[in-house]
Amino acid sequence: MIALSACATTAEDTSPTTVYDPLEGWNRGVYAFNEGVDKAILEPTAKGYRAVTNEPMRGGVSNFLTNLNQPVVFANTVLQGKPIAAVDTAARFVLNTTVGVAGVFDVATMIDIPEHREDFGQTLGVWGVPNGPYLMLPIAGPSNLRDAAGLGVNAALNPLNYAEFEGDTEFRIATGVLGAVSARESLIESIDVLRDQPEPYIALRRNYTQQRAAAIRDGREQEDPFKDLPDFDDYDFGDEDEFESQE
Amino acid sequence: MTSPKWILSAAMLAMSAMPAFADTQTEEYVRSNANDVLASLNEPGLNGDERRAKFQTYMDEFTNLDAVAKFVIGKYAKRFSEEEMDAYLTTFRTYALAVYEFYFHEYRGRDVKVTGSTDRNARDSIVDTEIVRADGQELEVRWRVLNRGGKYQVVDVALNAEGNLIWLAIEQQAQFLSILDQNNGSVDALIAKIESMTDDLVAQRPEEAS
Repeated sequence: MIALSACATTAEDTSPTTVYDPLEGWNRGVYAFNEGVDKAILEPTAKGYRAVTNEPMRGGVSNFLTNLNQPVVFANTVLQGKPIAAVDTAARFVLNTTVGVAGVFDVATMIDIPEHREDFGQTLGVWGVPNGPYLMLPIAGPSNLRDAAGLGVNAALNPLNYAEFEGDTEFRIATGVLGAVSARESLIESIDVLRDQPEPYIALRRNYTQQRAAAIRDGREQEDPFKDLPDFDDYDFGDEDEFESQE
Repeated sequence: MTSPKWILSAAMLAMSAMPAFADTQTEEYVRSNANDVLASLNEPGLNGDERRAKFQTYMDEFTNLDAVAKFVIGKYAKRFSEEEMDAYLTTFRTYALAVYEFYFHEYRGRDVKVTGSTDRNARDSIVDTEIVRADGQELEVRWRVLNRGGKYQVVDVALNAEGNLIWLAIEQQAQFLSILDQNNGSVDALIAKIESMTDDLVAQRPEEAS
Protein backbone atom coordinates (compact mmCIF):
# COMPACT_ATOMS: atom_id res chain seq x y z
CA MET A 1 0.00 0.00 0.00
CA ILE A 2 2.82 2.37 0.88
CA ALA A 3 4.56 1.38 -2.33
CA LEU A 4 1.39 2.08 -4.32
CA SER A 5 0.90 5.50 -2.73
CA ALA A 6 4.50 6.37 -3.44
CA CYS A 7 4.00 5.46 -7.10
CA ALA A 8 0.99 7.72 -7.34
CA THR A 9 3.00 10.73 -6.25
CA THR A 10 5.96 10.18 -8.57
CA ALA A 11 5.88 12.61 -11.48
CA GLU A 12 6.98 10.12 -14.10
CA ASP A 13 7.77 6.47 -13.61
CA THR A 14 7.26 3.12 -15.23
CA SER A 15 5.88 1.23 -12.23
CA PRO A 16 3.24 -1.41 -12.88
CA THR A 17 0.44 0.82 -11.66
CA THR A 18 0.98 4.29 -13.06
CA VAL A 19 1.43 6.09 -16.36
CA TYR A 20 2.41 9.77 -16.38
CA ASP A 21 -0.67 11.49 -17.82
CA PRO A 22 -0.82 15.15 -16.77
CA LEU A 23 -3.08 15.98 -19.74
CA GLU A 24 -5.65 13.32 -18.85
CA GLY A 25 -8.64 15.64 -19.20
CA TRP A 26 -7.63 16.70 -22.71
CA ASN A 27 -6.59 13.16 -23.65
CA ARG A 28 -9.94 11.75 -22.56
CA GLY A 29 -11.66 14.30 -24.79
CA VAL A 30 -9.54 13.24 -27.77
CA TYR A 31 -10.21 9.59 -26.93
CA ALA A 32 -13.97 10.22 -26.97
CA PHE A 33 -13.59 12.03 -30.30
CA ASN A 34 -11.54 9.13 -31.73
CA GLU A 35 -14.16 6.65 -30.54
CA GLY A 36 -16.84 8.65 -32.36
CA VAL A 37 -14.85 8.77 -35.59
CA ASP A 38 -13.97 5.10 -35.27
CA LYS A 39 -17.55 3.95 -34.77
CA ALA A 40 -18.84 6.19 -37.56
CA ILE A 41 -16.16 5.59 -40.19
CA LEU A 42 -13.12 3.45 -39.41
CA GLU A 43 -14.74 0.41 -37.78
CA PRO A 44 -17.49 -0.02 -40.42
CA THR A 45 -14.91 0.46 -43.19
CA ALA A 46 -12.57 -2.11 -41.61
CA LYS A 47 -15.42 -4.60 -41.23
CA GLY A 48 -16.48 -3.98 -44.81
CA TYR A 49 -12.91 -4.52 -45.96
CA ARG A 50 -12.81 -7.82 -44.06
CA ALA A 51 -16.13 -8.85 -45.59
CA VAL A 52 -15.06 -8.30 -49.21
CA THR A 53 -11.53 -9.72 -48.95
CA ASN A 54 -10.08 -13.03 -47.89
CA GLU A 55 -7.09 -13.62 -45.63
CA PRO A 56 -4.48 -14.07 -48.39
CA MET A 57 -5.61 -10.81 -50.00
CA ARG A 58 -5.40 -8.92 -46.73
CA GLY A 59 -2.03 -10.56 -46.04
CA GLY A 60 -0.77 -9.32 -49.42
CA VAL A 61 -1.93 -5.76 -48.68
CA SER A 62 -0.35 -5.84 -45.24
CA ASN A 63 2.93 -7.23 -46.69
CA PHE A 64 2.96 -4.52 -49.35
CA LEU A 65 2.49 -1.73 -46.80
CA THR A 66 5.02 -3.24 -44.38
CA ASN A 67 7.56 -3.44 -47.19
CA LEU A 68 7.08 0.24 -48.04
CA ASN A 69 8.08 1.06 -44.47
CA GLN A 70 11.29 -0.99 -44.48
CA PRO A 71 13.58 1.99 -45.24
CA VAL A 72 12.34 3.54 -41.97
CA VAL A 73 12.97 0.28 -40.09
CA PHE A 74 16.43 0.00 -41.68
CA ALA A 75 17.41 3.54 -40.68
CA ASN A 76 16.29 2.90 -37.11
CA THR A 77 18.16 -0.40 -36.79
CA VAL A 78 21.29 1.50 -37.83
CA LEU A 79 20.56 4.34 -35.40
CA GLN A 80 20.09 1.77 -32.63
CA GLY A 81 23.39 0.06 -33.48
CA LYS A 82 21.86 -3.27 -34.50
CA PRO A 83 23.90 -4.45 -37.50
CA ILE A 84 22.30 -7.90 -37.78
CA ALA A 85 18.80 -6.41 -37.75
CA ALA A 86 19.95 -3.84 -40.33
CA VAL A 87 21.24 -6.56 -42.67
CA ASP A 88 18.05 -8.60 -42.17
CA THR A 89 15.91 -5.56 -42.98
CA ALA A 90 17.90 -4.60 -46.08
CA ALA A 91 17.79 -8.20 -47.32
CA ARG A 92 14.05 -8.41 -46.69
CA PHE A 93 13.42 -5.19 -48.58
CA VAL A 94 15.45 -6.19 -51.63
CA LEU A 95 14.07 -9.72 -51.76
CA ASN A 96 10.42 -8.86 -51.10
CA THR A 97 10.45 -5.88 -53.47
CA THR A 98 11.82 -7.99 -56.34
CA VAL A 99 10.97 -11.68 -55.93
CA GLY A 100 8.03 -10.79 -53.71
CA VAL A 101 6.45 -8.55 -56.40
CA ALA A 102 6.63 -5.10 -54.80
CA GLY A 103 6.37 -6.63 -51.35
CA VAL A 104 3.02 -8.39 -51.78
CA PHE A 105 4.61 -11.78 -51.05
CA ASP A 106 6.74 -12.11 -47.95
CA VAL A 107 9.42 -14.31 -49.51
CA ALA A 108 11.97 -13.30 -46.87
CA THR A 109 9.96 -14.87 -44.05
CA MET A 110 9.67 -18.08 -46.09
CA ILE A 111 13.46 -18.36 -46.02
CA ASP A 112 13.66 -17.37 -42.35
CA ILE A 113 14.95 -13.82 -42.61
CA PRO A 114 13.31 -12.32 -39.53
CA GLU A 115 11.21 -9.17 -39.62
CA HIS A 116 12.16 -6.33 -37.29
CA ARG A 117 9.84 -3.58 -36.13
CA GLU A 118 11.62 -0.38 -35.30
CA ASP A 119 10.66 3.27 -35.41
CA PHE A 120 12.21 6.49 -34.22
CA GLY A 121 10.18 6.55 -30.99
CA GLN A 122 11.83 3.22 -30.11
CA THR A 123 15.22 4.55 -31.18
CA LEU A 124 14.82 7.48 -28.79
CA GLY A 125 13.82 4.96 -26.10
CA VAL A 126 16.94 2.88 -26.79
CA TRP A 127 18.98 6.09 -26.47
CA GLY A 128 17.48 6.60 -23.02
CA VAL A 129 14.89 9.29 -23.78
CA PRO A 130 11.97 8.88 -21.33
CA ASN A 131 8.34 8.53 -22.49
CA GLY A 132 7.31 12.01 -21.45
CA PRO A 133 3.62 12.66 -20.88
CA TYR A 134 1.08 10.28 -22.36
CA LEU A 135 -0.73 11.78 -25.36
CA MET A 136 -3.88 10.74 -27.15
CA LEU A 137 -3.49 11.92 -30.73
CA PRO A 138 -6.54 12.68 -32.88
CA ILE A 139 -7.20 9.70 -35.20
CA ALA A 140 -3.67 8.27 -34.71
CA GLY A 141 -4.55 7.20 -31.14
CA PRO A 142 -2.33 6.50 -28.13
CA SER A 143 1.18 7.93 -27.98
CA ASN A 144 3.49 9.89 -25.72
CA LEU A 145 5.68 12.93 -26.24
CA ARG A 146 8.71 10.85 -27.26
CA ASP A 147 6.80 8.64 -29.70
CA ALA A 148 4.84 11.55 -31.18
CA ALA A 149 8.13 13.34 -31.88
CA GLY A 150 9.34 10.10 -33.43
CA LEU A 151 6.41 10.08 -35.88
CA GLY A 152 7.75 13.18 -37.64
CA VAL A 153 11.23 11.68 -37.96
CA ASN A 154 9.77 8.41 -39.27
CA ALA A 155 7.98 10.36 -41.99
CA ALA A 156 11.25 12.13 -42.88
CA LEU A 157 13.12 8.82 -43.00
CA ASN A 158 10.77 7.40 -45.63
CA PRO A 159 11.91 8.39 -49.14
CA LEU A 160 8.41 7.75 -50.52
CA ASN A 161 7.16 10.76 -48.59
CA TYR A 162 9.19 13.23 -50.65
CA ALA A 163 10.18 11.34 -53.81
CA GLU A 164 8.67 12.92 -56.91
CA PHE A 165 7.14 10.63 -59.49
CA GLU A 166 4.05 10.61 -61.63
CA GLY A 167 0.98 10.26 -59.44
CA ASP A 168 3.06 10.63 -56.25
CA THR A 169 0.35 12.53 -54.34
CA GLU A 170 -2.34 10.01 -55.28
CA PHE A 171 -0.01 7.16 -54.32
CA ARG A 172 0.66 8.66 -50.90
CA ILE A 173 -3.06 9.26 -50.24
CA ALA A 174 -3.98 5.75 -51.41
CA THR A 175 -1.33 4.00 -49.29
CA GLY A 176 -2.26 6.20 -46.31
CA VAL A 177 -5.94 5.25 -46.54
CA LEU A 178 -5.14 1.60 -47.20
CA GLY A 179 -2.73 1.58 -44.25
CA ALA A 180 -5.41 2.95 -41.92
CA VAL A 181 -8.04 0.44 -43.08
CA SER A 182 -5.63 -2.50 -42.97
CA ALA A 183 -4.38 -1.57 -39.50
CA ARG A 184 -7.91 -1.11 -38.17
CA GLU A 185 -8.99 -4.44 -39.67
CA SER A 186 -6.17 -6.24 -37.84
CA LEU A 187 -7.34 -4.63 -34.58
CA ILE A 188 -11.05 -5.51 -34.80
CA GLU A 189 -10.90 -8.17 -32.07
CA SER A 190 -8.43 -6.29 -29.86
CA ILE A 191 -10.55 -3.13 -29.86
CA ASP A 192 -13.65 -5.18 -29.04
CA VAL A 193 -11.80 -6.62 -26.02
CA LEU A 194 -10.66 -3.12 -25.06
CA ARG A 195 -14.22 -1.78 -25.19
CA ASP A 196 -15.32 -4.59 -22.85
CA GLN A 197 -12.89 -3.41 -20.16
CA PRO A 198 -14.21 -1.59 -17.07
CA GLU A 199 -12.27 1.56 -18.04
CA PRO A 200 -11.12 1.39 -21.68
CA TYR A 201 -9.19 4.69 -21.54
CA ILE A 202 -7.05 3.44 -18.65
CA ALA A 203 -6.68 -0.03 -20.19
CA LEU A 204 -5.46 1.46 -23.49
CA ARG A 205 -3.09 3.88 -21.77
CA ARG A 206 -1.46 1.08 -19.77
CA ASN A 207 -1.40 -1.37 -22.64
CA TYR A 208 0.20 1.15 -25.01
CA THR A 209 2.85 2.15 -22.48
CA GLN A 210 3.74 -1.45 -21.62
CA GLN A 211 3.80 -2.51 -25.27
CA ARG A 212 6.17 0.28 -26.20
CA ALA A 213 8.46 -0.55 -23.29
CA ALA A 214 8.55 -4.18 -24.47
CA ALA A 215 9.19 -3.06 -28.08
CA ILE A 216 12.17 -1.01 -26.90
CA ARG A 217 13.47 -4.20 -25.23
CA ASP A 218 12.85 -5.99 -28.56
CA GLY A 219 10.20 -8.19 -26.95
CA ARG A 220 12.48 -9.49 -24.24
CA GLU A 221 11.06 -9.76 -20.75
CA GLN A 222 12.34 -7.34 -18.14
CA GLU A 223 15.47 -8.55 -16.35
CA ASP A 224 13.69 -8.94 -13.04
CA PRO A 225 10.01 -8.99 -13.99
CA PHE A 226 8.75 -9.70 -10.46
CA LYS A 227 10.77 -7.03 -8.64
CA ASP A 228 8.05 -4.37 -8.53
CA LEU A 229 5.00 -6.53 -7.93
CA PRO A 230 2.71 -4.94 -5.36
CA ASP A 231 2.18 -6.33 -1.91
CA PHE A 232 -1.02 -8.19 -1.08
CA ASP A 233 -0.44 -8.13 2.66
CA ASP A 234 -2.92 -5.34 3.31
CA TYR A 235 -5.67 -7.15 1.48
CA ASP A 236 -5.43 -10.90 1.93
CA PHE A 237 -6.69 -13.65 4.09
CA GLY A 238 -8.13 -11.53 6.90
CA ASP A 239 -6.02 -13.20 9.59
CA GLU A 240 -3.77 -10.40 10.80
CA ASP A 241 -1.47 -12.75 12.71
CA GLU A 242 -0.48 -14.53 9.55
CA PHE A 243 0.41 -11.39 7.61
CA GLU A 244 3.13 -9.81 9.58
CA SER A 245 5.66 -8.47 7.15
CA GLN A 246 8.73 -10.57 6.44
CA GLU A 247 10.99 -7.55 6.91
CA MET B 1 30.82 -32.90 20.41
CA THR B 2 29.01 -30.77 17.89
CA SER B 3 31.14 -27.93 16.57
CA PRO B 4 29.68 -24.47 15.87
CA LYS B 5 31.08 -24.80 12.34
CA TRP B 6 29.02 -27.91 11.72
CA ILE B 7 25.87 -26.23 13.04
CA LEU B 8 26.51 -23.25 10.79
CA SER B 9 27.01 -25.50 7.75
CA ALA B 10 23.85 -27.44 8.54
CA ALA B 11 21.87 -24.22 8.96
CA MET B 12 23.17 -22.84 5.67
CA LEU B 13 22.34 -26.10 3.91
CA ALA B 14 18.82 -26.00 5.34
CA MET B 15 18.38 -22.40 4.28
CA SER B 16 19.64 -23.04 0.78
CA ALA B 17 17.28 -26.00 0.48
CA MET B 18 14.23 -24.03 1.61
CA PRO B 19 13.40 -22.14 -1.61
CA ALA B 20 13.63 -25.31 -3.71
CA PHE B 21 11.32 -27.08 -1.28
CA ALA B 22 8.83 -24.21 -1.44
CA ASP B 23 9.04 -24.24 -5.25
CA THR B 24 8.22 -27.91 -5.54
CA GLN B 25 5.19 -27.64 -3.28
CA THR B 26 3.93 -24.45 -4.91
CA GLU B 27 4.44 -25.83 -8.39
CA GLU B 28 2.51 -28.95 -7.50
CA TYR B 29 -0.25 -26.84 -5.95
CA VAL B 30 -0.69 -24.88 -9.18
CA ARG B 31 -0.36 -27.88 -11.48
CA SER B 32 -2.92 -29.95 -9.62
CA ASN B 33 -5.47 -27.19 -8.99
CA ALA B 34 -5.22 -25.50 -12.39
CA ASN B 35 -5.83 -28.87 -14.04
CA ASP B 36 -8.82 -29.51 -11.76
CA VAL B 37 -10.28 -26.10 -12.61
CA LEU B 38 -9.94 -26.62 -16.38
CA ALA B 39 -11.24 -30.19 -16.10
CA SER B 40 -14.32 -28.98 -14.19
CA LEU B 41 -15.36 -26.94 -17.24
CA ASN B 42 -15.20 -30.00 -19.44
CA GLU B 43 -17.55 -32.54 -17.93
CA PRO B 44 -20.09 -33.49 -20.58
CA GLY B 45 -22.17 -35.44 -18.04
CA LEU B 46 -23.08 -32.25 -16.17
CA ASN B 47 -25.39 -29.46 -17.26
CA GLY B 48 -24.22 -25.82 -17.34
CA ASP B 49 -25.31 -25.00 -13.78
CA GLU B 50 -23.78 -28.17 -12.32
CA ARG B 51 -20.51 -27.54 -14.15
CA ARG B 52 -20.50 -23.95 -12.97
CA ALA B 53 -21.07 -25.00 -9.34
CA LYS B 54 -18.15 -27.41 -9.55
CA PHE B 55 -15.95 -24.81 -11.23
CA GLN B 56 -16.78 -22.29 -8.51
CA THR B 57 -15.96 -24.75 -5.74
CA TYR B 58 -12.53 -25.38 -7.27
CA MET B 59 -11.94 -21.67 -7.82
CA ASP B 60 -12.78 -20.88 -4.20
CA GLU B 61 -10.21 -23.44 -3.11
CA PHE B 62 -7.59 -22.35 -5.65
CA THR B 63 -7.82 -18.57 -5.38
CA ASN B 64 -8.41 -15.99 -2.69
CA LEU B 65 -11.13 -13.93 -4.34
CA ASP B 66 -11.70 -11.72 -1.28
CA ALA B 67 -8.03 -10.74 -1.26
CA VAL B 68 -8.17 -9.99 -4.98
CA ALA B 69 -11.41 -8.02 -4.55
CA LYS B 70 -9.83 -5.85 -1.85
CA PHE B 71 -6.57 -5.45 -3.76
CA VAL B 72 -8.28 -4.17 -6.90
CA ILE B 73 -9.91 -1.29 -5.00
CA GLY B 74 -6.60 -0.30 -3.36
CA LYS B 75 -6.97 2.60 -0.92
CA TYR B 76 -10.77 2.27 -0.99
CA ALA B 77 -10.56 -1.11 0.77
CA LYS B 78 -10.12 0.83 4.00
CA ARG B 79 -12.71 3.48 3.20
CA PHE B 80 -15.80 1.36 2.47
CA SER B 81 -18.13 0.71 5.37
CA GLU B 82 -18.69 -2.90 6.41
CA GLU B 83 -22.03 -2.96 4.59
CA GLU B 84 -20.55 -1.45 1.44
CA MET B 85 -17.69 -3.91 1.54
CA ASP B 86 -20.04 -6.89 1.88
CA ALA B 87 -22.12 -5.73 -1.08
CA TYR B 88 -18.98 -5.10 -3.14
CA LEU B 89 -17.38 -8.48 -2.28
CA THR B 90 -20.53 -10.34 -3.33
CA THR B 91 -20.75 -8.44 -6.62
CA PHE B 92 -17.04 -8.83 -7.33
CA ARG B 93 -17.11 -12.56 -6.64
CA THR B 94 -19.90 -13.13 -9.17
CA TYR B 95 -18.06 -10.98 -11.72
CA ALA B 96 -14.65 -12.61 -11.17
CA LEU B 97 -16.07 -16.12 -11.52
CA ALA B 98 -17.86 -15.09 -14.73
CA VAL B 99 -14.62 -13.59 -16.08
CA TYR B 100 -12.54 -16.68 -15.27
CA GLU B 101 -15.20 -19.02 -16.63
CA PHE B 102 -15.41 -17.00 -19.84
CA TYR B 103 -11.67 -16.89 -20.47
CA PHE B 104 -10.89 -20.43 -19.26
CA HIS B 105 -13.61 -21.83 -21.53
CA GLU B 106 -11.25 -22.03 -24.50
CA TYR B 107 -8.81 -24.02 -22.35
CA ARG B 108 -11.32 -26.39 -20.77
CA GLY B 109 -10.00 -29.90 -20.34
CA ARG B 110 -6.53 -28.91 -21.50
CA ASP B 111 -3.35 -29.92 -19.70
CA VAL B 112 -1.50 -27.33 -17.60
CA LYS B 113 2.26 -27.96 -17.59
CA VAL B 114 4.54 -26.31 -15.06
CA THR B 115 7.66 -24.96 -16.75
CA GLY B 116 9.39 -23.29 -13.79
CA SER B 117 8.95 -21.08 -10.77
CA THR B 118 10.49 -18.21 -8.85
CA ASP B 119 10.28 -17.59 -5.11
CA ARG B 120 10.04 -13.87 -4.41
CA ASN B 121 10.35 -14.92 -0.77
CA ALA B 122 9.29 -17.90 1.31
CA ARG B 123 5.63 -16.79 1.21
CA ASP B 124 5.32 -15.38 -2.28
CA SER B 125 6.05 -17.37 -5.45
CA ILE B 126 5.44 -17.18 -9.18
CA VAL B 127 4.75 -20.45 -10.99
CA ASP B 128 5.23 -20.52 -14.78
CA THR B 129 2.92 -22.75 -16.77
CA GLU B 130 2.06 -23.49 -20.36
CA ILE B 131 -1.37 -24.43 -21.63
CA VAL B 132 -1.83 -25.71 -25.17
CA ARG B 133 -5.23 -24.94 -26.66
CA ALA B 134 -7.12 -27.44 -28.80
CA ASP B 135 -6.04 -25.49 -31.92
CA GLY B 136 -2.38 -25.92 -30.92
CA GLN B 137 -1.86 -22.33 -29.78
CA GLU B 138 0.34 -22.15 -26.68
CA LEU B 139 -0.45 -19.81 -23.84
CA GLU B 140 2.13 -18.84 -21.22
CA VAL B 141 0.43 -18.25 -17.88
CA ARG B 142 2.11 -17.27 -14.62
CA TRP B 143 0.40 -17.69 -11.29
CA ARG B 144 1.23 -15.63 -8.24
CA VAL B 145 0.83 -17.86 -5.20
CA LEU B 146 0.94 -16.71 -1.60
CA ASN B 147 1.71 -19.11 1.20
CA ARG B 148 0.01 -18.06 4.39
CA GLY B 149 0.60 -20.41 7.31
CA GLY B 150 0.99 -23.39 4.96
CA LYS B 151 -2.15 -22.53 2.97
CA TYR B 152 -1.49 -21.70 -0.67
CA GLN B 153 -3.74 -19.47 -2.73
CA VAL B 154 -3.48 -17.75 -6.08
CA VAL B 155 -3.92 -13.98 -6.01
CA ASP B 156 -2.97 -12.95 -9.55
CA VAL B 157 -2.41 -14.37 -13.01
CA ALA B 158 -0.13 -12.99 -15.72
CA LEU B 159 -0.22 -13.53 -19.46
CA ASN B 160 2.88 -12.95 -21.54
CA ALA B 161 2.12 -10.72 -24.53
CA GLU B 162 5.25 -10.14 -26.64
CA GLY B 163 7.54 -9.66 -23.68
CA ASN B 164 4.91 -7.92 -21.56
CA LEU B 165 3.64 -9.58 -18.45
CA ILE B 166 0.03 -8.49 -18.06
CA TRP B 167 -1.04 -9.11 -14.46
CA LEU B 168 -4.81 -9.25 -14.44
CA ALA B 169 -5.42 -7.99 -10.88
CA ILE B 170 -2.95 -5.12 -11.34
CA GLU B 171 -4.68 -4.08 -14.57
CA GLN B 172 -8.07 -4.36 -12.91
CA GLN B 173 -6.88 -2.28 -9.96
CA ALA B 174 -5.80 0.59 -12.25
CA GLN B 175 -9.22 0.58 -13.92
CA PHE B 176 -11.33 0.18 -10.76
CA LEU B 177 -9.42 2.95 -8.98
CA SER B 178 -10.06 5.23 -11.93
CA ILE B 179 -13.80 4.48 -11.78
CA LEU B 180 -13.89 5.13 -8.03
CA ASP B 181 -11.80 8.31 -8.33
CA GLN B 182 -14.14 9.68 -10.98
CA ASN B 183 -17.20 8.91 -8.86
CA ASN B 184 -16.00 10.32 -5.53
CA GLY B 185 -15.32 6.81 -4.24
CA SER B 186 -18.94 5.72 -4.68
CA VAL B 187 -19.32 2.00 -4.08
CA ASP B 188 -22.70 2.12 -5.83
CA ALA B 189 -21.14 3.42 -9.04
CA LEU B 190 -18.53 0.66 -8.97
CA ILE B 191 -21.09 -2.04 -8.20
CA ALA B 192 -23.34 -0.81 -11.04
CA LYS B 193 -20.38 -0.97 -13.45
CA ILE B 194 -19.35 -4.45 -12.29
CA GLU B 195 -22.92 -5.73 -12.55
CA SER B 196 -23.26 -4.46 -16.11
CA MET B 197 -19.98 -6.18 -17.05
CA THR B 198 -21.15 -9.42 -15.46
CA ASP B 199 -24.38 -9.22 -17.46
CA ASP B 200 -22.36 -8.74 -20.66
CA LEU B 201 -20.20 -11.77 -19.87
CA VAL B 202 -23.21 -13.95 -19.14
CA ALA B 203 -24.84 -12.79 -22.40
CA GLN B 204 -21.66 -13.68 -24.33
CA ARG B 205 -21.33 -17.09 -22.69
CA PRO B 206 -20.78 -19.78 -25.35
CA GLU B 207 -23.81 -21.97 -25.97
CA GLU B 208 -22.08 -25.15 -24.78
CA ALA B 209 -21.30 -23.44 -21.44
CA SER B 210 -24.85 -22.22 -20.78
